[in-house]
Amino acid sequence: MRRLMSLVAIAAVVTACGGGAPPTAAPSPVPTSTDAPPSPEGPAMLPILASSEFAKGPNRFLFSITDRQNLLLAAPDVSVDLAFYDVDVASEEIAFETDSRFLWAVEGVSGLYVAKVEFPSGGRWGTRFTATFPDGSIRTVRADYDVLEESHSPAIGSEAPSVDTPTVPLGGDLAGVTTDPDPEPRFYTTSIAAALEAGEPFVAVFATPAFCQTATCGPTLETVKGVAADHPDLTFINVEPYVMSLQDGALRPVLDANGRLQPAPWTTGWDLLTEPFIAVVDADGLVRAKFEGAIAPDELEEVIGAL
Amino acid sequence: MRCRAPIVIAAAAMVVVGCDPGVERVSGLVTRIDTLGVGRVQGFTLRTTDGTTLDFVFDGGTDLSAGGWPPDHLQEHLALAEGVAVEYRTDRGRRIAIRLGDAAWIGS
Repeated sequence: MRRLMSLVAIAAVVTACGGGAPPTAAPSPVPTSTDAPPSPEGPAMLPILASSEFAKGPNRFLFSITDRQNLLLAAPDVSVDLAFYDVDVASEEIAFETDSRFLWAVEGVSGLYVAKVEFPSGGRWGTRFTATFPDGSIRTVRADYDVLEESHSPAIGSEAPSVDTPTVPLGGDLAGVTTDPDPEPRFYTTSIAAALEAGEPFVAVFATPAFCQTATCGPTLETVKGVAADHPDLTFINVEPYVMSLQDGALRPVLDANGRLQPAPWTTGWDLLTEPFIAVVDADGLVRAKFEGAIAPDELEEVIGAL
Repeated sequence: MRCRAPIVIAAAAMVVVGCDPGVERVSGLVTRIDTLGVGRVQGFTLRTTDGTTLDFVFDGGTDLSAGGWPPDHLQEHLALAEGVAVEYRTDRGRRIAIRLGDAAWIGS
């Protein structure tokens, strides 16, 4: 059976309200299709769920907020509290609440919010986002979405898949293993399989800078490189997520017969839905944390510090 | 035949008829991605500045020349709420995306 995953908005049904207006149900599964009118005090708020999937157990709940004109509302001085609803049990009863924190994906340029969330069960869930703005105004919006019983990518606490990944000895030519224009050589000396075999903790980064056109894109690998500088003894592994070949001195994607990118064997081995994807693996070969989309340095530091 | 560039009104849905017959262009924010995995993005939903949501599918790869990028890169734009420009054709009611690129921030 084909497993078609809806990233994000994750087939979310959104209801929104602002300035105290009651929430209004929207028939469309797409959160941007809310039928709630804009608030008289300002534009309505819409969530963008940036996680590729949610699954039973611990999750990194990544999201942003915009107004209906697509203006980004996410900012360091806008706080967002979250209330979660187990729709299958009681759609209007709060199951648990948590706060979130803003993180810069690119310092001072663009960011989003992250919250640590543990879903006790799979099924239909909802989240009410309540944002407090610097002027004291509050806006709220709810999105409903599906939570899987099991995640596609390796679950936190599960064994990291052992896959052979390309390596180059220190001092070797890195052009054949990365599209990073300023690669960190130590990221390419150890394969995932070798690190697992050696029982050494490591950080695996499935990411490619190849398709980034602007400074606000592709910050993940740069963020990891910054963290790695403070941990010279920890193993970091960067792999290109796609099948590539060396052409004219640089890696180029190898497209399939339909002109599409092809996932590399190690990407398929980890059953990743998206890239960039970061996993922190401990000395027992267990996934201690995983990140996708964007990451703050201190998030990674926190996990590394606990290894 | 000389091709006339259309005028784009920023506040509108920004649908532009390009010089290539049958090819249209639209900009907005990605709000949803349908995928089977890395390298296997099936489609996505775009929200334009007037609140319209448009669904797109892929029929093969996208044009990677001159700043074009592949469907998988949509995820990064979604996460950072970065605008996306889409060139597409319509076939039997389906919008088939043929080129994706960076868009200037929409709505700011």
